[in-house]
Amino acid sequence: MTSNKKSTRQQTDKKEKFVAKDKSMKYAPSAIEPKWQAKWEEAGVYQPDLDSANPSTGSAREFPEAKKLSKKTIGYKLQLASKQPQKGTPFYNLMMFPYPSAEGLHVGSIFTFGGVDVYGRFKRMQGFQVFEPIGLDGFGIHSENHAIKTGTHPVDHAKRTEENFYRQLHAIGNSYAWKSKVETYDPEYYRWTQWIFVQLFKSGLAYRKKSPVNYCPSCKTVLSDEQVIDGKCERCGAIVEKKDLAQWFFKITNFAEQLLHNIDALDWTEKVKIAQRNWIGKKEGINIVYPVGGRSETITVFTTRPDTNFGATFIALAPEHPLAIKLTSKDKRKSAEAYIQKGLHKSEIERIAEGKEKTGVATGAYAVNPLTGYKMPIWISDFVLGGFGTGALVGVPGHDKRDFEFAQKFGLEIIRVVVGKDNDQSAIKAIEQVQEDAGKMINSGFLNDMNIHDATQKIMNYMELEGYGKREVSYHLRDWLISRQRYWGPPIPMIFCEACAEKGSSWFDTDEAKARLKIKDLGFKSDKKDLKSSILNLKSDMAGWYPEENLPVELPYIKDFKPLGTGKAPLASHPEFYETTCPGCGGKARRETDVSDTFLDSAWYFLRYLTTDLHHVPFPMSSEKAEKFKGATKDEVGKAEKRKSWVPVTMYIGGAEHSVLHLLYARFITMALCDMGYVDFEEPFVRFYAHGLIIKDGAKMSKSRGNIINPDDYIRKYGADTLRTYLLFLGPFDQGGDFRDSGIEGMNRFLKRVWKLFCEGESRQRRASPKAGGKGKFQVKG
Amino acid sequence: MMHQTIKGVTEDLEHLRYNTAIAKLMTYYNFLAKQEIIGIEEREVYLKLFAPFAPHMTEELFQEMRDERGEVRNEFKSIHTSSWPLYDEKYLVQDVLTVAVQVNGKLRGTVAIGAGKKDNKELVVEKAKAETDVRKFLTGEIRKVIYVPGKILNFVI
Repeated sequence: MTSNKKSTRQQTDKKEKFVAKDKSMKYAPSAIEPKWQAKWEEAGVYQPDLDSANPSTGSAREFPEAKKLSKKTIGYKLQLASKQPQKGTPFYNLMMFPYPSAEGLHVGSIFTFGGVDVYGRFKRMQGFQVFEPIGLDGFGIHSENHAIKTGTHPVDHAKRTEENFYRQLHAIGNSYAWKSKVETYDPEYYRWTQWIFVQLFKSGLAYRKKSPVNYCPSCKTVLSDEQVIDGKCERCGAIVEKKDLAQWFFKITNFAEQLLHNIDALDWTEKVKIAQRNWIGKKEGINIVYPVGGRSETITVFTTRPDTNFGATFIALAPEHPLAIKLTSKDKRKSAEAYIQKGLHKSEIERIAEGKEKTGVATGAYAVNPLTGYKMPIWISDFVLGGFGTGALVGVPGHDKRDFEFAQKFGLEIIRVVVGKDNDQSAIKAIEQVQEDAGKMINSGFLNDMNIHDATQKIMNYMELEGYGKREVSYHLRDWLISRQRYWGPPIPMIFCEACAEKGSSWFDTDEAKARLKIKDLGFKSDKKDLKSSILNLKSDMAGWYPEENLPVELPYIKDFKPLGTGKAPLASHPEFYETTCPGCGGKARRETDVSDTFLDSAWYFLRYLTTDLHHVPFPMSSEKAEKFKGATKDEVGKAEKRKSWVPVTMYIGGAEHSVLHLLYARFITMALCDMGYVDFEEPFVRFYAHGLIIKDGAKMSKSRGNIINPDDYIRKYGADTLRTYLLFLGPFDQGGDFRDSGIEGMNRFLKRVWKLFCEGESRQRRASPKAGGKGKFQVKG
Repeated sequence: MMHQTIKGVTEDLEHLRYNTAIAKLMTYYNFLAKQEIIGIEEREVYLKLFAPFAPHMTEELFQEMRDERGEVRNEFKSIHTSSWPLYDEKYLVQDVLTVAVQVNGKLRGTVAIGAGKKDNKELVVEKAKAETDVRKFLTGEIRKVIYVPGKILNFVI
């Protein structure tokens, strides 16, 4: 009894206070939220001291496998659920920075960023030192197209959107380290983007070459392979064309094997890993050389299924194949030429579409299959692509559906050489009978009765021994086309000198280059295939070219910034920009006027977040490397060294649509920087988690549907806390959910009830019913 | 209930299962709302578990709580740099189970039942029928009652 009395007394004391509060304190997020945001920033709650992280408690230390990652492979898994970290262990919590558009932050981004933030806050409270930065990926065609559409200059557009985006990013209450933001269009940032370009050039990883490239007629610029999705422009959806243009490329293919190999050990969402494996597309097969009957030429064909070669009955050449016209007999030449022209104008996707009626013309020539002596007629067909394999294929219509369609259309022989599970040994007359996968060999001489895998090895050995075959590994991955004929990007920091070009000299003839070439493997650590010789090969192609050492090459404010569509960039009409002197001979020279792909900007931004206060050093690196930067102070060198403990990124969350774009490019750039000794890890993101998608009332959000959600309205009405919690309650984070106004209303009620319950203080009288906290049990219906 | 919620929410957050973490916080709220007294420890734990989702509101309430405790507030101590609650395994034994009550497969409410009585189907049915949220939906003749002990009760009408 006495204790009860006591508590009642206490309660009365408090009650006065809380009664007073109850009157004034209705849940009012519009008052609370800005107040705490300001307080957090003032107190530096979310701004970790980047220099205090002791390397011995660094992320690499905490997760032993991460150390291995910096060597060769990765085997690092986060297993922190039950583990309490050592106090202050760095945790780099990264979200994909947005590109700002006029409309402002998309609610999908709030869903994602909120989800990343919840993770960061959780880790912070667990005792990690969490670094959660944000910035703007504001350079690039996306933003430029927006600027054009709204009739503003990209520079002014950027200023306006920057303000709006940062306002919104503040309003959602994420625990950002606001002192560490980056904007890719800031010269302080892109001077280092350009610096990376120069380093790649000096290491033989950037080169300029004329080749058929993807061209978007609507964006009026070239695109990388990764930016062509189903034959269409990733940004605007226009059908992509092929054009022969001289362009800058990055040699990502040098890293194909390493990019593929490391995937296994990455703790990434599985579907993203699969997408990258498929994109790299390693194929182990054999190049077979077939003599052309009665002539001196030979045709080389790449195949992964040489086991079926006893069933080969024709050869098909791509329209681009150099022998296509040459082998065509005179009477057929005219029709062949017409066919080739037509084929070259089709998009790749049109050409290879399955089930589409096959077309082709016969050349009149034939090749001999040495296995069988079979005279295989040589055709020209546009379902063979010039850029893949050797641009020629050997047709085995019994065991490849497209070959079957082709053979059926043109009455070519179909021979069965594999019997599948169904044990059907009859002649193949219908496409359903075409056995592409597993089975046993038949009608194949010394291969008979073997399974196809054993047969593949046996026949490859045989062909190599006989001297007309050579094992070959091929990749789908091709070099990264980096130049864009647009305005809104970092100018490619290269200079071309006509006079030097005529003499055949370039940067590769300078003392610096010679010194680099003398260093064994150019200081490259891993066993890349003969880089030295690839640089020497490059040398002749690169005649006349020098990198700009004085960075940044600033993007000038020009009025005529719109894409020209002439194959030239807007800067090409500005002599005051491109006229310069040659770093080699001191004569008149010309700057490159293309800008680089926006995906280069985002391929390294996670490194810059850590050093936004360092003017002379691009990102964390060893003091040995850092002190070589011109003007680097002792303080900067020390900080660059200390901040190494923050990378690689501990947790990265973003959209799966970036699987073969951003995520692949960032891996490549990190690997290249690792090879040059600037970073000591190969993989930038040890853990990657792909989030889901938010839809509205059952449909994808789009302007034409008019169901775009403006986050500002909801924050004004319910507060950021309600919006965040609601978005994450909608469904599993990796799937997303359907945004409904009735749902967010319910979530708001929940927050109000929690507020009320807690405002009532420690002890309170139970009210008449058990439903004291509100009208009833709380439930939000999805 | 508190320790069980800490465990559940911690594991959910570690695996980014945010929606289920929020659901657990709702269940825990329903539990707390029925209590005559909510201790300060329990309130603090609740705020901390909810803090990653609703950072502003929880900060406000957390600071109020520091006032209430009479903590010196010269120095700002944010809830977001406070330490994450830990659970104690020994409290994890469930003495009260929450049974989800469905009508035709749709969730309409929950009932709490002592762990020792979880096999008493009649009792669970009786309790479920007493819930207004459930009763509203029991409009026709009950054709079948499916019960998974301690977990789900489904009325088919």
